[in-house]
Amino acid sequence: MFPIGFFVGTILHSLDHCLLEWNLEDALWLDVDDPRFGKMAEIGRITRAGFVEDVPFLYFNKCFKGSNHPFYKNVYEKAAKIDTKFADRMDTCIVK
Amino acid sequence: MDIDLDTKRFVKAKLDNTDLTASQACILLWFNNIATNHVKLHSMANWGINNHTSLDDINPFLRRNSVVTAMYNYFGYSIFFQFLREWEEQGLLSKGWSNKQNPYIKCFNQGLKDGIGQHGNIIDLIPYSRFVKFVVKVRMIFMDAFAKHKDQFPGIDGEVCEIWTRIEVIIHMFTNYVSDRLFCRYYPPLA
Repeated sequence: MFPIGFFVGTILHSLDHCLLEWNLEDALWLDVDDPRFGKMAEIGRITRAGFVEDVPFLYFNKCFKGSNHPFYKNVYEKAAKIDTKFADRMDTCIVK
Repeated sequence: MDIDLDTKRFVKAKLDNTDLTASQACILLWFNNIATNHVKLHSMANWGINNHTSLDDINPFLRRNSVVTAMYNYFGYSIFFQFLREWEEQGLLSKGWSNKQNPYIKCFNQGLKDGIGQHGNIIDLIPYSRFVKFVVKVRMIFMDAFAKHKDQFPGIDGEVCEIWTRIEVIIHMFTNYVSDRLFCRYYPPLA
């Protein structure tokens, strides 16, 4: 187990999803009629619509926020002091 | 792609000396991230899990997270392309995505093969980017906390210190792409 992989697979990965969600508010902003890059826009639309935001109805906690484990709790509390909006979206595993 | 750091606005973009519109730049940035960059994060995550059954006693939360991550990554890579044909038939995709050459998976593989480049100047973006600032600070918090709770994370590699220093490279790769949401905001034309 590598700490770097742990960091990337939890915090960096989930925040990348956040930025994907916040930066492109509507999947239809990607122009599928563009003559050069329309095909890329097609798969981009599907990805934005179906694979960026949280999967609903998970029965377990997958966030740093709300975890009772001392490591995750410790990291969340300090991260929230820097930026609550980002800290609240830090996931503990990959499920999207 | 040129971004004005002060106004956080798109200035211009080129591909092979051809000017791109903001809309085209948006498509390319988006596709590059989802098809070749983001997959690297998934791949790296496989090196940050431990799903050994002994963790059931030591750290069951980590074990569950590890199992979830391993399963998602496995199915994400091995099953995803099977949806493409269905989406073509539904009209969500044009023909070609599901052909034998498997173009989308090829993009995944190319991204993984390319590895992660170093962008040594990423720290310069801290004053301009709320996101870079957050990630750089939280990285230190994360590593400090990890060292403090290392008894909860068995199976750590002996070369861990060297690896930690390489975290910079990952951050550079990641933040080089989208360092602030305002940088790449695409404003569609008014109807």
